[in-house]
Amino acid sequence: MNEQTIPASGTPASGKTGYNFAYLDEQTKRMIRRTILKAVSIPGYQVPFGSREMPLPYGWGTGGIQVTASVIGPDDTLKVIDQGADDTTNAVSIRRFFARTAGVATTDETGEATVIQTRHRIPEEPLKHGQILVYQVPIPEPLRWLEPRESETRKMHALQEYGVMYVRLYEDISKYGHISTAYDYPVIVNSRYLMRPSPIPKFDNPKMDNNPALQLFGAGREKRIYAVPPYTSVKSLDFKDYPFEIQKWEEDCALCGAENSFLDEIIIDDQGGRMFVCSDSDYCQKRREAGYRGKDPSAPRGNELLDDAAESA
Amino acid sequence: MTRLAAPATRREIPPGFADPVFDAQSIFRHVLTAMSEPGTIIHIGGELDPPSPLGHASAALALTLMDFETPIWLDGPVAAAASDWVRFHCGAPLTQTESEATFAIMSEAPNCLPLTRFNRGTDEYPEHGATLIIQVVAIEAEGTLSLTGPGIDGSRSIDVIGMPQDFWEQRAQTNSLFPRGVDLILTAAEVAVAIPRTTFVEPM
Ligand SMILES: [Zn+2]
Repeated sequence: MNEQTIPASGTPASGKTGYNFAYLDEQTKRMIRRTILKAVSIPGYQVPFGSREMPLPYGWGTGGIQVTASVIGPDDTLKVIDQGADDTTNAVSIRRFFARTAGVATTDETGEATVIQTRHRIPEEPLKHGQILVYQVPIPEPLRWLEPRESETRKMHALQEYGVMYVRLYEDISKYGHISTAYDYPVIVNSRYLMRPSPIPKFDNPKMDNNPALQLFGAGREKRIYAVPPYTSVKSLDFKDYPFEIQKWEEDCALCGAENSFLDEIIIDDQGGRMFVCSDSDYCQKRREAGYRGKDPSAPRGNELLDDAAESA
Repeated sequence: MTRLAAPATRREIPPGFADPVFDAQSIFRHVLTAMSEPGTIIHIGGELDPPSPLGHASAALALTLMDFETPIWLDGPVAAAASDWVRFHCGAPLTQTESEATFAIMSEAPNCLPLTRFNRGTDEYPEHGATLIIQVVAIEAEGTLSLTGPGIDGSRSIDVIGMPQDFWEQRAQTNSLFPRGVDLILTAAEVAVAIPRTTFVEPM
């Protein structure tokens, strides 16, 4: 056997770009991969990991990016969404980052993607077995606003002492007559761990339950990874007399007429005109391609307007 | 002649991955599938030729997951044949103390008992529970074990040949204090199946 056939362990792939494959070095990927496996074997529990500096600022999903970078391979097709849309600056930057550092194929189509990195939404199209959904998480600890000390929240998780969270939700009910939390609504995973689903609308919470896809959560600044394996119970906290409810709209999507999709309210002119459209741009597009029409099908999509506004700001 | 001495020593260590970056990524994805869908049989490690009795799949797992941060415990037969291979390719420290090991590799299932020797983590840090790679005689889809729990739509059945009589009972006892527990990856030649601590295993 030729000595040169023995590769030194951990030799980075120097792709044509000069980056390591998917940016991270092999030792970092190994460490994150071990963390992901432990996260999967303890569903809903936040596993600490040695987060690395990424060439994007915190708030741009550095936790999600590190998870995606450790999982993704040349055969994958990546979709990246921000608030449901593929075409926002954040989503475009992350997609470009992986196209450049990993050479992976990218797509806007939920059904085509093998890995979907998301900020603040779960796609409307049901996910499939074999897909991986990677959430960008700003604050992983559901008890953080109730108990600022990490040592205490860790104990509360260890003892499954989640009473304070129920008390907080019940205070909402006595104050407003309903639970006012609309985003990042806490859930219990596998009847054991209290988990923050990241700032998705509570509209998306039921999609997490018993989902055939693997759900991975990465928090870069707080250095935590957690997971929900496929076909795992995820229940939103509620009370017998105040059952969990999702958001509902009076209107349907103005573009595609969808009745059961999460809608964004969009200001369409400077006369205060407004309309409601699907937050999930791929879902809305697919419906229109299939011939579905709302009451104002020719209006521009909200994200295009928002991006224009952001660019001129 | 002395010039040949060093290369000759290295030549005795069979190679690791042909392509460390992409082989590790591909094998990790299979392991991720295995761990998130307990009882799913994966095929890994076909290209490797590790020193027997270290099996193909076990060796592939070692190359994919182990390094200087993960103390490894090897049972007698694997230690005798493959200590150099593991040290050379993974750069991982070997430990004689089971409870210190992040990973353990067993040439045959009886050598993993009692399971309570291994780190099960704590209620506050359950992720410190060890991952045990246990070589078995054979793993087959459909069989005498019924698996339920996270990652399984209903139940999944497999057969594992080469387990001691009371293994599954010992495992259940060892993992009875969830979230504390050990996670298992069973391997047979080039196939593997993961059984994390959340999986209920019932002999039928
Ligand atoms: Zn629509």
